[in-house]
Amino acid sequence: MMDILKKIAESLMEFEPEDTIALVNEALASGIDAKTVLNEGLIKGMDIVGQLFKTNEIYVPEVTMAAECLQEALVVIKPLLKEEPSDVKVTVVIGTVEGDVHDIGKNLVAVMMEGAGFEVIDIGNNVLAQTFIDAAKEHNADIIACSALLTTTMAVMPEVAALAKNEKFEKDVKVLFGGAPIFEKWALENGADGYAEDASGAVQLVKDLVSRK
Amino acid sequence: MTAKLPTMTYQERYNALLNKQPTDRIPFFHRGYGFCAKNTGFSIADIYEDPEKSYLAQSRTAEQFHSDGTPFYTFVSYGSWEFGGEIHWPVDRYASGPSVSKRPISKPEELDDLILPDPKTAGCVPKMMEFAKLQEKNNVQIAFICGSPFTHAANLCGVETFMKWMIKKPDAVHKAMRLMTDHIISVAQYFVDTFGEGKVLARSAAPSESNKLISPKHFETFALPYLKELHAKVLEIGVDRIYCHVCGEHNDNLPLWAEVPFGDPGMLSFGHEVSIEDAAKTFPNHIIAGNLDPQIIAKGTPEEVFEGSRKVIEDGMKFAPGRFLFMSGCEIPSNTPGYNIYMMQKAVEEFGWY
Repeated sequence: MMDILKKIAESLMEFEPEDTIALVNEALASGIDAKTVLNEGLIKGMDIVGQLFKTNEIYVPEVTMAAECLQEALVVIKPLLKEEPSDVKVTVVIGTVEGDVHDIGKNLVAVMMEGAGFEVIDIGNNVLAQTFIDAAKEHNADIIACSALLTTTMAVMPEVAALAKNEKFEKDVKVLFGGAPIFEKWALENGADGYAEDASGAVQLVKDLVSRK
Repeated sequence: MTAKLPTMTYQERYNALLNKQPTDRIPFFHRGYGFCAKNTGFSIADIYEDPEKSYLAQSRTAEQFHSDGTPFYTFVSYGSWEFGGEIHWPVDRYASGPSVSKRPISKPEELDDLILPDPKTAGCVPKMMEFAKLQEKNNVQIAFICGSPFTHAANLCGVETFMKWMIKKPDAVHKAMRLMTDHIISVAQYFVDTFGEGKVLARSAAPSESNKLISPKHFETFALPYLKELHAKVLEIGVDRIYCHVCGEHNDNLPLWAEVPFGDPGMLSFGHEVSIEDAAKTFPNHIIAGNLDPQIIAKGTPEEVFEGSRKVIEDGMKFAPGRFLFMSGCEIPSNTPGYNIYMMQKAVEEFGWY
């Protein structure tokens, strides 16, 4: 069993989505449950991808292709997943803020989060502050993640945080800021509940914030 | 401290720098395209859409901050509109430059349908030519956009898609690079034909080749051959020299950049991610410009800007004496406090004398 799961994890770095899907189907056909395939195969694979990216052993083209393998495999896996009472479901609404059309960083964070097993609602780029709030309400989100590449558009992030603080959500929604021009001090001073330097850090931050709730 | 007074005009200083002659102080360029617009009461869209207003906004801002930089035309997202895509002018609340509303292509096979556009009518080129005529009329450096071919080619389909093609469809990337390189050469020829040999500066920026996005190996495979070819060709047809902004994290690419011709001397500016020392050592014969972190300029206190400027100026004068130009490490945001730009100017006028 471990052998096929290891192959699934490693297949993400082969950049052939069809091969990953074939391995996932093989694992499922052999009787391994979908959750184990997800956690021990695909998520472990994305952990490796995240680490390699963090240490500059791979770059955006490789991560983007690994993400494509993951996303196509998730299409197969997701319908087979059964919710269990012990499951901690984390829902993240993520987008690039108004005035900013850069989405590579946001997409990387989204796929890393998806790879970590979170439910990710990607609301795209050039997103109005109120749209983040509306999406968080609609999807009963735990986290609102705002991305910006431009220093000019950073100004939208405090608007999102302020709207979130004044909104009556069903949950205690946390707001995260990220992107090249953002730094921790500014993020925390402007309403963010957390800041991470990179995509892997963002995943860990969400885990930490959710576990504290 | 007694303030020194300049003994050169900006034009004399700029010419001396290019001619490898002594200057009274280091040249300074405030940088900030959108900043110039807001600083002088124009809209961000004006500075891209209206050459007259753009020229005025830039020259007035340069005058205000004793900047040695002369007005130039640039266009964010170059490569898309020029090949039949559509752009959205920066009229929205936080927009800082034109963005692509429709890409010319989304699939590799669509590259076969793309044809080289007429440089006289392609995308922003007519506005760039109109601007260049203002440069000529005002006797300042005439310039045109000259890449980088990789950054512009990625704008054909979007950077993320282009990145995937590098792994799965390398032939498509080479085809896009070929097309974009040929297009830029045709624009260079148009400008040389219009203004004459030795009159035109090629301006280039290379953000998408940054090691934040691609590996040095991919830079070597997909970007470098076309950069070398393009620069050699435009110099051969009569472009005076090349200025390139090596944007962002390029430390692992530096030895490869050293293979690229830029003219004698060429000009290279760097982000704060690359030290002035490394840049000066890698390019011992070119003008080195940079590289105060734009975040400090935009969000720092005046004291932080002044101190940061001092450090960069001292590095520049130590490692690239006589061939250093002080500027921001990248574009500064339009809402940067003007007083922080003044702090850069003040640091130049306090620490930048030779």
